[in-house]
Amino acid sequence: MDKGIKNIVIWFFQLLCGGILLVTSWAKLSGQPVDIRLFTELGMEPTGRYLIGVIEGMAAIFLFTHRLAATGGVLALGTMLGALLAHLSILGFNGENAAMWSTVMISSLIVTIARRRHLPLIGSTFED
Amino acid sequence: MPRVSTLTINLEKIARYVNLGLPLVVAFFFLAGRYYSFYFHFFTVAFFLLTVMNFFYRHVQKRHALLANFGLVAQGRYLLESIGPELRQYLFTNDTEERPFTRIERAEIYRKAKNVDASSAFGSLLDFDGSDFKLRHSLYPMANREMIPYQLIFGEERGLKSAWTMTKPILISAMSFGALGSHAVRALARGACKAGVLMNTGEGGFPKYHIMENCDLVFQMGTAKFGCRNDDSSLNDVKLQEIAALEQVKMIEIKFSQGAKPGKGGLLPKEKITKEISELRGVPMGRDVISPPYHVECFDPESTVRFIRRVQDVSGLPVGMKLCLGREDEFYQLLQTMKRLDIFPDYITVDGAEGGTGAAPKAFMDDIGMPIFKSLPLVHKLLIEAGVRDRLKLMAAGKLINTGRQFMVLSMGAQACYTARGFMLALGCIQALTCNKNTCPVGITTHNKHLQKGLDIEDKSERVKNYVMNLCHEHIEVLTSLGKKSYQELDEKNLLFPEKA
Repeated sequence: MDKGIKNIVIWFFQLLCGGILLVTSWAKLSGQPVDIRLFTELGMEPTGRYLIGVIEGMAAIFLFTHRLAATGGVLALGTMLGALLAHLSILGFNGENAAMWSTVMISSLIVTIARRRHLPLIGSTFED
Repeated sequence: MPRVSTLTINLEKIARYVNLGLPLVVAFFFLAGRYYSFYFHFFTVAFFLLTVMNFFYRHVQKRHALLANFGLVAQGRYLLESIGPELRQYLFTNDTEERPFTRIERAEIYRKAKNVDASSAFGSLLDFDGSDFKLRHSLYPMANREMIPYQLIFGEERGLKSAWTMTKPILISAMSFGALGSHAVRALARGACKAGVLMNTGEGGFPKYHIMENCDLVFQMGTAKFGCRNDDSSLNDVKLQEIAALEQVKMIEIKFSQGAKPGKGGLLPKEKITKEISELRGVPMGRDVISPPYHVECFDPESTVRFIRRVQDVSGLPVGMKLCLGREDEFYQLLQTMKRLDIFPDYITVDGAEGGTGAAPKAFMDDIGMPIFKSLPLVHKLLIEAGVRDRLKLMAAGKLINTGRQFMVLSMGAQACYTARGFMLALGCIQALTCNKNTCPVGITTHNKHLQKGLDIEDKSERVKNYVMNLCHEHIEVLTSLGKKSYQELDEKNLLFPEKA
C-alpha cells in the first residue's frame, strides 16, 4: 500500500479508537450511573472506576499522537481485555456494548501492530 | 578431583522456567481476580499480554535467533545493549579511553571555552611511555616582550591587491550550514568575529548564516560546487564572482578531498535536508545529497592546475586547495605540473585522515587516507625539494584541537591550523556521535528547532572567543618555552619523534 494512504488509514483508526475511549473515560470519571452500577457489582467502586477512567483517558491522548500511538494501543487493548474478563466472570453479557467493544479492540490492535516500532522497550526488535 | 562449585546463571534454564511459568501466573491472577478481588485482573491482563508477546517472540518472528530461543528473557540483553553507549560514556570508560576525543581532551577545551583555570596538578594522566610526539623546549626560553606578532599574508606571492593578512594561526575549519544548524553557524561566526579569526564556510552553498555575523570567511567550493554550480556540477563563473564579491569573503578554498572520507564527495543525510537547505544548495529534499567524488574539470595534473588558475582569475581572491594526501607520487606530479605551468594555489591545506565529518561511510573514516603527522611533513618536504615552498602557504587540519597538537604541525611545516571539532567542543559538543542523525542533543548538528533552542548564540559565541584567546595565550607561552621569537622559527628540531612511529 502507498505509504501516505497507509498512514491516513492508521490515523483513522487512532482517531476512532481514541475518540471512543475519550467518551468512555469521561463517563467513568464523571460518575455516570451506569458505570457506578457496573463498578459496584465488580466491587471496585469508586477507586477502580477512577483508575480505569484515567487509563482510558491516557490511552486516548496517546492515540492522538504519532509517537505514542502504539503505547496507547496497548493500554486500550488492556482495558478491553479487562472489560472482557469482567463480563465473562461477573457481569454477564447483554450485548449492549458489544459493537463498541469490538471496534476499540480491532482498531487498537491495528494501531499497535502498525506502529509497533514505536513501542517502548521492545520497539527496536521490530526494526528491519 | 575436588569439586569446584561456582555461582553461575544458567540463562537457558531461567528462560525455560519463565516460558513455562508465564501462563501459570496468568492463571493464578485470573483465579485471584475471580474469587478474591477484581483488582487482580490488572495483573491478569498485563501478564496475558506478556504471554502473548513471549509466544510471538518464540514461535512467530524469525528475525532474532536469541528471542526465538529464549523469549522475553532475551529482551533483557537488547535493553542493556541499547543503553550501553551511555553507560560506557558516563560510568565505565576511563578518562583516556574515549574516541575520537578523550574526556581529558574535551575537558581541556571546555575549560578554555568557559575561561576557567586550565592548570592541572600532580602529573600527566596520559600514558607517558606511549608513542606520542613530544615537543622539545629550549634551555634558554624567550621573554614575552621579544615576541614578534604572528601574521600570514595570503596572496602576497602573486602580488594580489586582495591579499589577505591573517593575525592568528587558528582557523575555524569547514562546516557547512546543513552539517551544522543555523544557531551553531551563527554562534561560531559571531565568535570568529569577536576573536578575529577566519571561518571556513564548508561546502554548503551560499553562506547565508555565515555572512550574517560579519566575520571574515573562506568560501569553500566542494566537488558539487554548491552555491556556484551548473546542473552538471561544473563551475558557474558568474555565481562564483557574486560570492567572491561579498565583503566578508576573503579567500576561496577548492576542496579536493577530505580527511574523513578521502576520495568521496560530501554527504548530507536526508534527515538534515530542510526546505531552506535544499534551496541554498539547489538540491531536492527527501534523499541523501551525495556530492561527486571529483571536480568534473579536474582529471589529470594539468587540468587540475588550470582549474585552480581559472578560479583565481574569476574570483580575484587568494585561492587555496584542501586535500587529504593519498599517493605521494601523484602529489609529486601535481607539484611538477604547477612548477612547469608556473601556476600555484595561494595555499594548500593538508587534511589528516583523522579529520572529522558530519557523515561518512565507516570504511572511509577508519581506513583511507594518510594521518596528518605522516602526510604534512611529506608535503612540506616535497615542496622544499621542488624549490617552491615559498610560492604558497601551508596549513594543516586533523584533530588539532589543542596547543600540543597544533605545535606538532606548526613544527612540521604548517603555518596555520584548522580545527572544526575543537570549536564544536567550545560550543558545548558532548561527543554524542549523532551528527548524521539530526538529533544532536546540544543543538549543534541539528535543524530541529527544539534542540537548537538550548544553543544561545551570544553566550556560545563568547565561548568561541575564549577558546581562541586562551589557545593564543598558550601558544605564546609554548613558543617562549621553545626559545622562539616567532612561529616562523619553528622546525622539526622542536619535535621528539616516538620510537615506534
